[in-house]
Amino acid sequence: MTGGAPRPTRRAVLALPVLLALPRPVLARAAAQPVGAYEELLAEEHAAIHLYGVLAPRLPESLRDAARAAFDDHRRHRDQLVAAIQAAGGTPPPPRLSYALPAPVPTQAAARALAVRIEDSLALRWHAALADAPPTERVAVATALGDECVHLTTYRLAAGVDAAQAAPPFPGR
Amino acid sequence: MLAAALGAAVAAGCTTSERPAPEPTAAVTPTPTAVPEDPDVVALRSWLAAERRLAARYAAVVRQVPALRPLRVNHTTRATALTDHLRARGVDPGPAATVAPLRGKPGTVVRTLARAERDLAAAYVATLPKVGDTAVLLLGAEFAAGARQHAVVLAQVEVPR
Repeated sequence: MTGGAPRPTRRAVLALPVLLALPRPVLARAAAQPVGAYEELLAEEHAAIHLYGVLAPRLPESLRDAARAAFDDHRRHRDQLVAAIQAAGGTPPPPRLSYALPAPVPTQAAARALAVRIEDSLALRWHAALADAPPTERVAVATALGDECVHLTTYRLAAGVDAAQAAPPFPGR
Repeated sequence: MLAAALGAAVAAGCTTSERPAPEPTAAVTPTPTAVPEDPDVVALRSWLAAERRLAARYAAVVRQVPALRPLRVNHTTRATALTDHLRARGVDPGPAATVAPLRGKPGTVVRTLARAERDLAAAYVATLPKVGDTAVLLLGAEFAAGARQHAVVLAQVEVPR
């Protein structure tokens, strides 16, 4: 996170997000995994989708396409997680009716900072999920991690930071 | 009595020097058996070669576009991390192959590098299902994400005409 919020413990998050396209043995194994771990990631993706609705109109015009791409990615990740939870026999938690903004978003810079915060937090969560993902699901989890990192870099470059900060050597850590 | 006779016969059989040697039943030369290489080592070697290759390819363009210098540094840093992982497994990483830096108009070179970064990201992700060690898995995923980030930087960097 770029703000002062504490990062969640990496091992506290476990997700097996893309199970519908996987063969049955994988689904059976996934059913033994704690559904609650998927739910944490899903809750954050729900929040990201909601918050993009708030921040996107406040972003500069130059970032609208990037925000649209990020929004679409979060919706895709959400759908993958919902499918995973259902395949594991769980009930995906629905989104809340509203989400509190972690900080006011009165300016374009504040909107961009919130977007960075969302992407950074989700990159961390997908990174944590990878360690426990079965081999057949690693591609999907690593791709989601990459999606968040790409958006993060886009927003950071737009904020005027240099490439060294926008693209660190070990993203997701 | 019987036990003593058997014991004597066994003892005699075991000590006689006139016992015929067994017929050779197979070729004397041992057949080399293919030992599958550790998939983590295979992945690390492949990733190291790719990171070294890309670091070398950036060499010329960073003089023309200094903003890209951190990307080259990242590739070198990642190569070092991969080297450390190989050495920790008792594997000699070997020397880097000689790779010519990309030359030409900066815009063309930058587009070529962006394509190479995207290809590298895809190659990393494709390898992840075969990796055994969690540390190697995370490293590969981080570097895949990092290569995609590089492609974003390359797409946005201002290039002299």
